Amino acid sequence: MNKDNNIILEVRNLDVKFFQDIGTVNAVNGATFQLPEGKSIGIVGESGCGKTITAYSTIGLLPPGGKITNGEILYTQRDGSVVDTAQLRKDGKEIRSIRGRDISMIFQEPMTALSPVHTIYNQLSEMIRLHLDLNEKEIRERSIELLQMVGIPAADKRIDEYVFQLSGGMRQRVMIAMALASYPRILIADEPTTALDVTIQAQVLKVIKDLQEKLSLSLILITHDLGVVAHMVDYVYVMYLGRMVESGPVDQLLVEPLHPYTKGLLRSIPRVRGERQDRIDSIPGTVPDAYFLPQGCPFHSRCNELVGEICKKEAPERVCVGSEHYVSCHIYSGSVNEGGAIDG
Amino acid sequence: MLSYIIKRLIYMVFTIAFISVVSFIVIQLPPGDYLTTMISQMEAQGDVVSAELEAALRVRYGLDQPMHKQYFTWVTRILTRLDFGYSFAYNQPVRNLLGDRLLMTMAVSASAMLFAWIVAFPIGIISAVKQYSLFDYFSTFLGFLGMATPSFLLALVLLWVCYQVFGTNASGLFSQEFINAPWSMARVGDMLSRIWLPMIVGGFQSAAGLIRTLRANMLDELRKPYVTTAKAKGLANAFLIIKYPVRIAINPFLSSVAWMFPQLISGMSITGIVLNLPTLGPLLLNSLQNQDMYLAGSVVLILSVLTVTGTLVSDLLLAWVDPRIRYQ
Amino acid sequence: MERQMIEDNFELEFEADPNDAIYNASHWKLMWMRFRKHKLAMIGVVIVIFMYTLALFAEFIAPNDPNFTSSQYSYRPPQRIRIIDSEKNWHWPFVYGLKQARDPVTLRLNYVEDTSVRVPISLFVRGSEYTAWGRVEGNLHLFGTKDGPWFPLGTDRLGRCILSRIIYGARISTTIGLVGVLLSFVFGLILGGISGFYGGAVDIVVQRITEFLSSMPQIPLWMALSAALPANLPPLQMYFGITIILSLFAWTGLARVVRGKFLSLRQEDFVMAATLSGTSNAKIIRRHLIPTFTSHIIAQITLSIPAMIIGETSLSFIGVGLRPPTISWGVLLREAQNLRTISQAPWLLIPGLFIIATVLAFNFMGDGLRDAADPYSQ
Repeated sequence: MNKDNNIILEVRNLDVKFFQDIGTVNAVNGATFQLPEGKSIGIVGESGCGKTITAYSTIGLLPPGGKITNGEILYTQRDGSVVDTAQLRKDGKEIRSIRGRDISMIFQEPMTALSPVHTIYNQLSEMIRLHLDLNEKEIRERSIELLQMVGIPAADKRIDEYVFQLSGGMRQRVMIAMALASYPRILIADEPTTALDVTIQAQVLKVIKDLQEKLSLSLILITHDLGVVAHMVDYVYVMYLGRMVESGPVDQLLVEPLHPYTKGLLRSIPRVRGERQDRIDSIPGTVPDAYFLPQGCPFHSRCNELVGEICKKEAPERVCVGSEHYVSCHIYSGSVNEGGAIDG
Repeated sequence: MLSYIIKRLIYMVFTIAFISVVSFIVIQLPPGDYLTTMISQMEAQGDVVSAELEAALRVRYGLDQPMHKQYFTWVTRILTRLDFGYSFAYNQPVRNLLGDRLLMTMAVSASAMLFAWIVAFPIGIISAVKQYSLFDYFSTFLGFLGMATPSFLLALVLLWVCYQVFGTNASGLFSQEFINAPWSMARVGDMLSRIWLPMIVGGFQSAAGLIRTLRANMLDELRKPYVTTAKAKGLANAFLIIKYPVRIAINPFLSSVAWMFPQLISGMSITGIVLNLPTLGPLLLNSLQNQDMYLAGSVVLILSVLTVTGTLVSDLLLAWVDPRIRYQ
Repeated sequence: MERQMIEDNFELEFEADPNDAIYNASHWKLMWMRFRKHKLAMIGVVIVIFMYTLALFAEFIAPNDPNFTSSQYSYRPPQRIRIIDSEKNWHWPFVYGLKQARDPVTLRLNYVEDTSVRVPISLFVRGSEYTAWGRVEGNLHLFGTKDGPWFPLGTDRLGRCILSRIIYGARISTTIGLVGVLLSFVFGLILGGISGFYGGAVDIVVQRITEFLSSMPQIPLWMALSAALPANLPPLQMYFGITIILSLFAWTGLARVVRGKFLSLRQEDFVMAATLSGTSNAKIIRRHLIPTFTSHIIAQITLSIPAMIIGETSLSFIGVGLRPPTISWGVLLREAQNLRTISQAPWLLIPGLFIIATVLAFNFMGDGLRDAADPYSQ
């Protein structure tokens, strides 16, 4: 990735494990990504690949039992200093001053992610009151303004309603408004449209995209949907079994995917327009158990382009295969090895 | 909201109508009736009651009427004149016996409920937030014990412990000198100094149940996504736990109060008997033993109405705090 | 021809098997695996088995005749089992005899240990005569003493052995829950099942009845109803009378669970599939609904037993339930009704420990069963 971009958030070799009675789940295994300021990146993968856990761990929101066992999460603060949020005390003051204030999150299910027994204003104003120094009148004005900004009609009336009185799309807009309430610098959207109707999805995505550009936010979009990624982000990371297998600028990666897994993902998208597909391909097999990680390349058990025995024995290095296009696969091992530069 | 209240009130009227039928059945249950009891009492005193007199009395008291007519007479008297019938054992109208005792029953039940709440609330929340901690195990143990100990046994044990430790008999709601004294500040003070025992005994079982319910609800709520949202806002843990999961877990907590209320009132009657309280429980037992059926039926009626009213109040409370119900 | 028929039968059986037996077996097996992991539930099982063993072999286990009265043994305290005597010598377990002595301060007659009389405890002792289960006559007891009386948990006012009475009382107190729960199970299953399966108006009516019954204060009604049973009823009829009264109110909880299960299962795809394929309603219930929630029902039944036990005990305690000469734990506690008696003979409260232990055990078991009934929970 271009080094003269200002990197606002960088995750290096992140390992997250869940310690349970029946065993240890290796949820994230060496995830690495960079978020340049004002840009948008996408993290794509099947459910269970660790993309959500990676995002949650950036602001210390791991579910009970989860623990960061290795790696760094480097956040460049407003004053230019860099802090490793992985090192901050769990739910301590430092991490809390970053949560919501600097790094905000939009969740998957707007219904359950918002409290059913508090009014919208109650939940929205709380965020403003916590992070901004405004009086009650200004808080109210700011709240209404936020709802208008995300396109909620009659915002001054809606604001005193409860979440269950709104439609799914409106709920997610409230969620977005809340996330943007205290002028955050980074917005993490975790599958923001998965729970919504298809017709609503596009609208909500447009709201996110427009606001990202208008407020020059840095955006991390987490999704399993490569179609969504194509419209929303500049740069894509493809994640499999807790690590990045391929990354590249969105137009390059989608047009010319290199990793067999990325190819499989792209083939499995049903197309409506364009040439007629005879059938929708799916990737054979299932994601291996996260209790026992496979040796060698994590994808070898489902790969249809195996190079040879090496795939089952050695994990492939990350190599650069084009301008800002990286892939971890033995097929491309002959290319220039840039893994060291990243890890260093 | 209004329609909800009206609906509940209509239900309640029906329930109370049902209850009155059940209470009337209680009155009619033992062999013989009102008159047989009266006559046997008169005969015990040496009076001879002739068959003619008996028949005349039967007509006068309406006992020659079919059952449903008798029922309606009974209900109408209660509704219009608060006339619950006559107690043979005490030789006075039932109404005179109920007043004070009803008040006492309500006072003791309310304080027991309060005790259960105050104890259960923090314990339930803390043991959920600190799941699998020593405190959690302790409160779980306490919860199990509370559920497994019959209230009369707890009362006996506490009485005995009190006697061993303080050397006093802690039963009764008043000290010797106040039992028959008229109401005064001193008497109220005396009552307050003794009410803790029935409060603990009556509330312990409810508290145990509430702890279990609240803990389970809290554990559910703590895993809900809105808690993560609140954390992602940057709120402090203690604050967000009280504002969100506790606030939401309170709803089933309140509704559990509704179904625990019958249990409480019902347990209270036994507690009252063991602790020798001037409540309705001992009166009921007495009347049953003496076959004083108008009194027994009235106590059953009043206890049931008390229960149903309490349940209604806590249901309305629930509707008031939960917008999901309020806006239906 | 005959061979063909046999083969047909064989095939039929074979076809029926995978649907029922194997599926259910794996369900029960899963449940058993989860249940065994539940430590408290296993403790509960042990206690429950213990209590029922007491009940079953009461005559053999109880050291004394529970109805044997003697004024000279009135209010004897429990005798401690010792293996070391006052001169620090080791012995086979024994108890000291008791002698009466006047307390120098209160001038009350008390029992004190008489260290000069050592009564060894032996196993398999010949003692009081009994007729077990109405037919087996014997006088063999699991343990007891040969030379001198021994009342391990003391005696009551009439000098009866408390331990023996507790063991005999287990018979009534532990079975009244079972019988009562079976009765209310029948009520609850029928009404809850009808309510949940048919829904609509039927459901509303049954719901109202259930709601009505559970909003009534149970104990006062129990009191009123059991007081209406004639006091001179023979023990067996009294027992069933009380059981029926107890289950009159207890079925509502079961009905609620059954109904809830039926309602949720009715929506399930496989029931829809069965309905669409024209299977009769009765068959749907029998083949598909019942197996899937039998485990939940068992859990709920187990959890309903404690309320019955407590109900019987409470009623007998205040004197409107079972009455002497019937022996139940509630009847035993009736002996400890006032403070004076308790302070004089606190061991009269010991039957309470058995009540608590049994109720706890059923609660633990029920919790374990409930967790185990849902293999996909957590």
